[in-house]
Amino acid sequence: MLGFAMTRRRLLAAGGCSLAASVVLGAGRAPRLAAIDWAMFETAQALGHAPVAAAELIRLRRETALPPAPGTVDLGLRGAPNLEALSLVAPDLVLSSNYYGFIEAQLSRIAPVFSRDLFLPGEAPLPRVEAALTALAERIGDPVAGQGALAAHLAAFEALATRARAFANRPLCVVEIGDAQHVRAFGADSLYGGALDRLGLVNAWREVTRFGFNAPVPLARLADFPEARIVIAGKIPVAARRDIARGALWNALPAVAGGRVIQLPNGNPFGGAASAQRFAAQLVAALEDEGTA
Amino acid sequence: MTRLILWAPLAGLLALGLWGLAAVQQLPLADWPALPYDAAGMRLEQILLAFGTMPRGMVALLVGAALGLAGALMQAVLRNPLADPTTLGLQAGAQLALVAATLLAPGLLAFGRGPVALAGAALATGTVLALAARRGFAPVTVTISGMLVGLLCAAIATALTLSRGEYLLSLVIWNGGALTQQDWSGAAILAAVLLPALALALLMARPLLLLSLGGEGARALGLPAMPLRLAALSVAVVLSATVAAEVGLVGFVGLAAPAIARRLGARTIPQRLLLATLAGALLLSLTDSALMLLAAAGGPVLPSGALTGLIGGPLLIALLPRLRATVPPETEAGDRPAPRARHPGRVLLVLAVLLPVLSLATLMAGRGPGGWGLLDPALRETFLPLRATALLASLAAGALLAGSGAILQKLTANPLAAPEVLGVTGGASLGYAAAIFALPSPGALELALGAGGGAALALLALSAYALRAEMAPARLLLAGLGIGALSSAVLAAIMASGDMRAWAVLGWLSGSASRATPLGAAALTVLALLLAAGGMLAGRWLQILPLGGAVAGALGVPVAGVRLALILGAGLATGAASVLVGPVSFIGLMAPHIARSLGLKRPRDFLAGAMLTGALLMGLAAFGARSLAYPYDLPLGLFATLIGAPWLFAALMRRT
Amino acid sequence: MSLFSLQDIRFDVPGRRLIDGLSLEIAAGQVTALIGRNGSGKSTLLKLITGQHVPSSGQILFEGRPLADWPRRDLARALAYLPQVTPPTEGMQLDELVQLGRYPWRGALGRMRAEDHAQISEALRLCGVETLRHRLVDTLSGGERQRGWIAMMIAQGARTLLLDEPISALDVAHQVEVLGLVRRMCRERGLSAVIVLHDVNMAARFCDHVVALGEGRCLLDAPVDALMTPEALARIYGVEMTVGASAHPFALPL
Repeated sequence: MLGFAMTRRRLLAAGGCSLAASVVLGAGRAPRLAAIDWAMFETAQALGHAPVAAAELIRLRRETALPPAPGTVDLGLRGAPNLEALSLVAPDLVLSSNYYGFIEAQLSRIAPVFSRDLFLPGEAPLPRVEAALTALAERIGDPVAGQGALAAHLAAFEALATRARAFANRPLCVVEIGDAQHVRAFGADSLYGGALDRLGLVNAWREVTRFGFNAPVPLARLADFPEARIVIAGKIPVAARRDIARGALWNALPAVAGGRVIQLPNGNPFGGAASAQRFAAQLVAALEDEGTA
Repeated sequence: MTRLILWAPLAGLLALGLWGLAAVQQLPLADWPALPYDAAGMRLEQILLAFGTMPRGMVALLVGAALGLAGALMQAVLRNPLADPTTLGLQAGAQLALVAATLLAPGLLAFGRGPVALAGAALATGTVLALAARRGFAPVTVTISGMLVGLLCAAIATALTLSRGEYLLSLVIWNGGALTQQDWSGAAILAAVLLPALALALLMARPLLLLSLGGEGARALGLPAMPLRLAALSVAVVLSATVAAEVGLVGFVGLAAPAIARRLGARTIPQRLLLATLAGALLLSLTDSALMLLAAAGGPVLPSGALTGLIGGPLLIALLPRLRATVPPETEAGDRPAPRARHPGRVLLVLAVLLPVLSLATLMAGRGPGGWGLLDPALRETFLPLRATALLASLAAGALLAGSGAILQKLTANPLAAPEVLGVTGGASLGYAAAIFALPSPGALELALGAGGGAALALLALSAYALRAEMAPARLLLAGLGIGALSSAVLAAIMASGDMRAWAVLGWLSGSASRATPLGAAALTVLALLLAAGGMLAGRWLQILPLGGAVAGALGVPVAGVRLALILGAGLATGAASVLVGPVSFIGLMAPHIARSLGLKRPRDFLAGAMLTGALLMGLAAFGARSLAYPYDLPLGLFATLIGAPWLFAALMRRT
Repeated sequence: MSLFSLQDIRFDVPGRRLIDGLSLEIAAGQVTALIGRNGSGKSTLLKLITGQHVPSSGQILFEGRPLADWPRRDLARALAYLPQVTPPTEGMQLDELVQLGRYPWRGALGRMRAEDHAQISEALRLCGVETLRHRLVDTLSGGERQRGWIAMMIAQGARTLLLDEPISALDVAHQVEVLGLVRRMCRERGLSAVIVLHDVNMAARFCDHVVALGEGRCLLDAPVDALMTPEALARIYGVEMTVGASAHPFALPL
């Protein structure tokens, strides 16, 4: 009986809340957004509606392309956000994605949830995160911001693509180094793969991306692309640096032997349009550097 | 030994053949480079073979050999067929050290992972031995201590990882026992450690044989037992730490290899050491070659460490019927019974009063953005329902796990029995995974049923198998470890698939009390009350069953039916609780232990005390998990381990 | 009517026949010793007549009724069994152990009545362990513990006691004490007992009847006096023995 009573009160509370939210969202006051998903966080930032709270803020600050405003509240883990912290910030809208579908019920007890499927195996995510820009803008009643952000994003990519044209001769293999023996390779269904595509560059890695963090690819697979440039997205872990540097196989890879390795700073491979754009900008700059050097 | 002469070359040929098949598929034999290998003059495919596949094959042999030898040494020293680098917490210690170094002092790792891993493994072993020494190195005590130290290390490592805002396991997993190599350095390091270790071990063989008479017997023959034990264990520690540093966690080989050696008729200590080394090498080599072939045929790329459980677990279970229960009861002499409480009612009353007190405290107090403090009256409306739901679910889950542990301990007359130890939570994991994969979008009920069904199935399989052997403790534990290893291998394989479902499993592993819905919390509470009521009604059975099937049957107890009912009850209770808590908590082991050390001996007192203790522990855990690293919700099950394990350590240390 | 009636019993385990065509009558109201060399099948036979093992072929009647037809509870009220190795009784007091004997009468849930408590006290008194009733069973001496278990069998109210090597771990004083107790129970309360024994002299001293097994067959089925001859002993144990007599006959290996 206790459970039932509580459920009913919750339902009433949730109903009232969503009603209030839609009124507020419609009235044009800056909505209070709370981001569980990082791509959604960047989407909101890009619209100029900085979320008042975000999950895993410590790491987010390091990785995101659009740093959170000072005073942003940390919501804890993305997979297990702190519901008390979330209700304290009293959001009008919670931003989530398909990765956190299993906690959506809990989130929607606190505020309405705006969730989009962003990263799906075998599907290009860039159009999806771009669509999220306009969809979220409409949801929070600021469609102009959405159109503006999308236009700016597309224009920036267009400019980068022009510069990248000079480097379309060789395919690129974008990887993240796990340890001295393993890498994660980014395919067409990853944000980075999508960025390559948008830049008019060829992605050497034809397979799907293994999104799970423990599904690495053996280093030896890189030998399958003798022509390619290797792009290392993100810093090499300390423990792997020495072994990578003196590994016989690594040094024998045609790209390494031919000096065709590009090292990029840390990024956010599961971010939004802004992260894709940052990756593209860093990549093009590094390619140009290499070309001039 | 005749079987050995038949099998060893056969297995060796098979291992070589399998590896050769994988290697030839990669590069036809005609194209193989000539010795000596020099990368400068080779084609890329040749380098891939000579600096990739070849050292990998060698590393598989060396890692397997090192773990097999380490396991055999530990089993000889501790006279315990359950001792191995995994069960004694060695690998977890090494991993904790690596995680801590990565997060807190990455500079340390610039010199390589070896020294850091060694320090961690040595510290973990030292702790286990300090605990074990107080109890005369009784095998069961050593195993409990080892598993607890291992759990504690894993819990701390995860808490460290999560509190820094990193994703669970993300540090460890890159190195999750994958044997891929890109030069010969790993093989060289392993060989440089293994060969002297093997020589040392063989030098120690005869003294170790004397030690098998027991510490006193050895002393009577003029052998100082302690330095020998330390020397042999040091060798095992160095071996396992090197493996942990080079390739990460490779479970089960240290347990399976000596068992295979014994099964093949290795009788004397030198035979056992050598055969276990050989068996470990071949076991891992076969596993890894099979995986290479699987990957070459377009199958999933799996780390060998995750897969040894998949092969080692069932193998061990298959070997068990031939394995005599080698734990002689008298070696547990150090384990004197705890005193029985004179007034168990008062102890229970104290526990029952503590429960609402703790509940009220954790409802009203906590940590928020402003730091620690009491709940602001203005926030009660929002927070109390949230907290009450989480608290109720935690209390019920704790009681369920503890009750299930208490019932299993009575059922098997085995103080080590617990849903976690007997592979019940492993079965629950498998059921949970099955539900995730079979159903498009499983709800809480489907997941609970999946986990519950998996738990009950694991228990049924286990008991069908063990009932014939009157549930001999060592055998049952080994079978349980087998199921546990199997399930963690399956979970690892699911994670390696890298799709959405992996995230759902991950979410479960880092289970948090705030995940509970009001309906779920109510359901768990009803289940806990049902379990308590059922347990009270079954009190007399719980008193008779520990006396064994013969006595219980002679007293007219319908033994098979009663066992089945209790097993199903315990399985469902565990499954339901693990939907909330995740697969690891060890509340089911710890709470009954605590109840026993409080002097609650009669079955009904024991069960009630265990359930109350379990609820208290889990309530505290839920509070700590949500407050300690605010706003980061630590995994509930891991936090429960953090709270309960030190208590159990204290209990182990005190009773000498 | 005989207590047990075995008709052409065979019992096989994979690869071995433990009992081979055994037919036997065991009489009520007396103490019967089951003897034989190690592996002769005597413990197996005991497990067969308790119903723990089911014969591969043949039939066992207990009190004239096939063993398999006995309802579990009724059988437990009639037949009590003491295993060769008594299991550890973690944290159990002696009176709680003896109370378990009332299970066949009260089941899992039935309340213990005054008559049950009377039976328990009587059993404790008969076995001379009433002063130990609040002690933990695991802290008792070997002889005390065996007497405690026998008290549980008495409290069970069974007319027949089956004991599997009840004295194998006891010193000679406790051996005499335990067997004396069983014998006294049979005499004073009209019970029957079947005891698996290793020691021929103890069998001769305390039992009325003896059944000797060898390789799953019956070698001797006779009053105990027939046992104490060099010929019978040689046939059963395959060892030359001499038989002497003081107050009772005794046998020694040559």
